[in-house]
Amino acid sequence: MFIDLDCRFDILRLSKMLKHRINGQSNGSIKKIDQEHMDFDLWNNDTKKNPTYDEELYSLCMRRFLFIRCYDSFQFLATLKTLHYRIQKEQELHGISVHILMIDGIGAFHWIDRASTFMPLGATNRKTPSLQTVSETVVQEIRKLLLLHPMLVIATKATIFGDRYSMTETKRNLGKLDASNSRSISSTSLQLPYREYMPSVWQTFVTHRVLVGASDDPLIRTNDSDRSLYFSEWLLPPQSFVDKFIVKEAGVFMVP
Amino acid sequence: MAPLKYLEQEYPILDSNFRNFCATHGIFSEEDLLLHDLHVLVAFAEQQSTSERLKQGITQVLSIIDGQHQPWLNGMELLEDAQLNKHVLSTGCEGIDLLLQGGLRMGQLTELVGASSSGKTQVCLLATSNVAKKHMDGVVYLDTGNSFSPQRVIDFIRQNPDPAIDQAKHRILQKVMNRILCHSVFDIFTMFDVLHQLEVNLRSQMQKGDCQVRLLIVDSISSLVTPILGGGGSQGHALMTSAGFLLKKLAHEHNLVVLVTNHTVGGEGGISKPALGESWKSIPHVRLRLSHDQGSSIYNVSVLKHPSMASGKAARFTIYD
Repeated sequence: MFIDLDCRFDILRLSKMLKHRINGQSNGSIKKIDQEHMDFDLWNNDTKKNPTYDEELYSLCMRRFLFIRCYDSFQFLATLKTLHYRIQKEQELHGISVHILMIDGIGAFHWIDRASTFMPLGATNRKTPSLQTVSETVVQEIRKLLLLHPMLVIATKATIFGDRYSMTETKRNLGKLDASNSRSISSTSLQLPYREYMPSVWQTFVTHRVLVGASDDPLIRTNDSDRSLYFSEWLLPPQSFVDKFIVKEAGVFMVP
Repeated sequence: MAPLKYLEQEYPILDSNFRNFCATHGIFSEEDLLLHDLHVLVAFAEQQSTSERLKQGITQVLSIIDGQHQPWLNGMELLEDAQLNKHVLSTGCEGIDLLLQGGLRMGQLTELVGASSSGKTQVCLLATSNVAKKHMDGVVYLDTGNSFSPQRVIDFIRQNPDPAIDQAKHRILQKVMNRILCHSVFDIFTMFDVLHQLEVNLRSQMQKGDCQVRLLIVDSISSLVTPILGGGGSQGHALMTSAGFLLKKLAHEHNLVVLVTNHTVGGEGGISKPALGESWKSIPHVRLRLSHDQGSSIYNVSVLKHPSMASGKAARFTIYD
């Protein structure tokens, strides 16, 4: 399930990447099945491409991608409050359960919420909508949701204050992180300066944090064209190495 | 977002008893409901004598909240919408069209960044004339610096004469020009007014004659935002991001191409960078950088950001006088 707060999601890009992934797996036997996307019986001896199967698989996968966009914090809160019922409905109708909740741009409404000043509301026990109360409610709603539906929550956050890099924050509730022990320790950790602007209630809620950004290294040459190099660095739990990746038509690929 | 008492007419279960119960927990309006933990409220309701009715009220309120967000869509539905409604509009400028694989995409906010006289307004006027003439769609042009030139638009329209229309040239020209609506806006609040009015018009599907608005241009958005940025308060940034959201909402909900222009400021090491700062960077879908070779009619355009294209791709094009 994908909550688009930045309102910049491009479905055509997702569609292309999914097609690449499906095409890549139907050539030859399927070694590893992505549980999220496939519920069929395995077929591992048919090495010829089967277009109808691919198409059906593609539309099945696309239908499993649930998307919503929110134009302000109230819509976001309304979405979170009713998410449990929505997930239940999906379970009843299609028998699928949710594994990942993605929030694209948790800092999207930061400035708007920060600047919102509301008139004094009279009753003393009334909560005024502000950055603090909105963030508290968001964290509260996600916590409640995780109690009922254990799943992985991934949120992206753009750095705002004059820093060149953007960050991805991860909350893990179920499942293990694929330990990147296999990666060789290449360079010293970058420890780039970034400034945390989310309220502390959100910061303490986050259990894992990755910083991604454009690398200063010169463009590397691949087979077809120059590609920008990006880095990703684990901040929480802190690792001493930095991974590098490039973005291709088919998706994100790590560079050793 | 209404205070709860206005909901009673439509939802009689939200009666005064329910509202008094809510008031004891500091809930007077729909917004308060959003900020409150409803499960905790249910627990409190259990302790009341009228617990059944109260819980029904809470359930009713939850379904009202469910109507307050956009609908959930699945990937196939999104894809259908993109394929049916979010086409690409040619700008009339071959270099840009080639670079962007066809032109500007409907539903997206595209930003043109460039120093002064780098051709931003020229490209806007060219796109305006192309959409009004070739696509026969409406254009809304928000002009912040009196740079909109009807004569230039007419020049562009006349540049590719269609022999069939030569006879009725004047009438056709008038028809084309009638599809273009230009507003002079000199501050951000006027822009919000104009955009909200546009939203109302689009929603009630008022069409000017035979055309539907397809292109919305703000030339330049930076001149509206820069005066309010800065200072210690966050009001300026809040207005800027609100404007961004409104433009993206208009683009998506009404299938418009939204084009804005931005100027450049000095950055570190003397290299110029786009104005409006870091917060603005993540707002447009597509960011293009324009520059102009001195004294010639050749322009350079390069991709700063694009959802499916690597940044750095560039092209050149010419705009004839």
